[in-house]
Amino acid sequence: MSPLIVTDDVRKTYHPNRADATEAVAGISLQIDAGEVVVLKGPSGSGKTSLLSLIGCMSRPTSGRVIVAGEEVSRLPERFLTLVRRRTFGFVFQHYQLIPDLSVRDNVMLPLYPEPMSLTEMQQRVATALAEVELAGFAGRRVAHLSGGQQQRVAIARALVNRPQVLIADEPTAHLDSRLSIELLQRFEVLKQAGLTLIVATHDPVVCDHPLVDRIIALHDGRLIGEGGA
Amino acid sequence: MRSYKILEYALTSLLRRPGKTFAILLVYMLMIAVLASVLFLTQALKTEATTMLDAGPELIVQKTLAGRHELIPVAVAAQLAAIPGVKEVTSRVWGYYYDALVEANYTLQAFDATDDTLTLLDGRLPRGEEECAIGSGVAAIRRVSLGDDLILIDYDNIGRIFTVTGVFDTRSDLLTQDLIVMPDGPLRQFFGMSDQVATDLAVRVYNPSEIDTIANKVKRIVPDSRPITQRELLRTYHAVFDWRGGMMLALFSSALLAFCILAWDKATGLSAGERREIGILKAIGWDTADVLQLKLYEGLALSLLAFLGGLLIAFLLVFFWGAPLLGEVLRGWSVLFPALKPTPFIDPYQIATLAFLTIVPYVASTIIPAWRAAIADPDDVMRG
Repeated sequence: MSPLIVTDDVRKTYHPNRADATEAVAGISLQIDAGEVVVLKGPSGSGKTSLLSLIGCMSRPTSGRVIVAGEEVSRLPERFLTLVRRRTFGFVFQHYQLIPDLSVRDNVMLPLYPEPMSLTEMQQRVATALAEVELAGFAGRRVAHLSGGQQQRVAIARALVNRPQVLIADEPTAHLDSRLSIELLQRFEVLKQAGLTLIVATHDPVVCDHPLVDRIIALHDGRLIGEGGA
Repeated sequence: MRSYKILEYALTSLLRRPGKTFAILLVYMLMIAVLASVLFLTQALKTEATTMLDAGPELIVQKTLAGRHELIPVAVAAQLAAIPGVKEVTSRVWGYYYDALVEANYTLQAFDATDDTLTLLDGRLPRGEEECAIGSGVAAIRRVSLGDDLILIDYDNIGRIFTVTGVFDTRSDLLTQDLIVMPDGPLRQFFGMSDQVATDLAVRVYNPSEIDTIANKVKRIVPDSRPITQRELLRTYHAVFDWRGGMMLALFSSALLAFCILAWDKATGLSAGERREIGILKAIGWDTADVLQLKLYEGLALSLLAFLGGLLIAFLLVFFWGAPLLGEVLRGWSVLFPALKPTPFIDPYQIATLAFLTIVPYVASTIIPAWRAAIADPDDVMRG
């Protein structure tokens, strides 16, 4: 079986041709199989977020290739790259990136607007996603009025509402206490059992040492410095 | 389906920012209302002038001396009546009167039985030497009504008493508002005019298409005259109203410019929240085209609502409330402004022009910065 995601000597330089050019990802090659739970581990500035961004089709590599489900996405036109991003990946951002003056329901519904589906179908999808994160009773609440843990669950529901193959989470436990971190990992376990591929960037040992993790990829200064089972 | 959903999101987005949305809507609507009022009123006044002149003579002949209007000998009427194609020549006696008491100008005119534009609202036309009929504006400013006396000072600075026998109504208030009508003899006495001269001659013709030829003939027979055709008069009226309207629009265009700058500033200066929202939408799978469609709908919804609201306000202001303030500026010369009740009329070409000049710049000023925000990589969202 071919891997779901492949990066081939992928590099990302911010502000190239400028004095302050920064090479955030410096030639990383890796493969991630479908259903795998992979942790990208490393200190701040090691390139975890940049690599997640490249894998999740948020940005394009300066050089190298990113292959998702057998298709090289690095050179795809923006429209198709967006389509791959929307249909393949769900994102849980470090700061959740919710729209504070929208309700929980409306935030979760956002990724569905560009999809060819009716409003009724969208509402059903949202209800299912909110039930999965145990927020069914909070649909009408504005996210600004929720706790940090609840906001993260809204972010997870939004990431899942498009039924992606891959969930990308960037420092998901950074703003959670240990109890909520454990709860999050239990939720991730359920997703893994459902066949979802999880790629998590973190330096939190609670995540790295958790039995749900299949593989840890260690990064430093944009380079892959180690790889192995959890 | 997708467009409908994005439209729905755009409308809720506007409602999420009620303060900003309603502030822009209010300013935009007021600006459209003012501009549309000027256009509506100019068009209405031109229509009024056309209605008024339609009933008048096809040609007016004035005598000139050193390029200025002079009294014309009544004998000329017979010469003009002999021109082939001329149906009738009437000598007209009229003039202006400044009423120092109320600081208003009136138009005094000898009663012309053939003038079918003058119909009485109340009473009868004057017959006796000390009788007159007056326009509703004169009646109002002098606070006189049917049967009352009206004292006017004649050319010799002697006060003369006229009994008001009628108050005018007309198809066009523009014509009779400041009018005082009396028989020919008393008016000549009032102005100190000989009965050998008239203010001008009104010429009616059998075939209006021959009017220019007849005017040329008049000029040959009476070289020191100025024949004025009905078409020229109408053109002058239209030019005057267009000029006044243009001046007002030019003045208000500074308001339009200020609004455009405001809109541009507002739009180019997308708030941090709006930029962040665009980034989030892009990150979770919205295409650049989706974001632009969203911003297009927001801009269109706001500008169309403001445009329609502004048009409605202008329509009510001009056609139902008599265009307060604007009417005085546009009509101009008289202190006795007619109570303006123009017939509702909208020129689609003007509306289209106004829409083009207001909606398009606003929508463009909304879309361009949104596009600039939307083409950036959504990568920034990953970094918070």
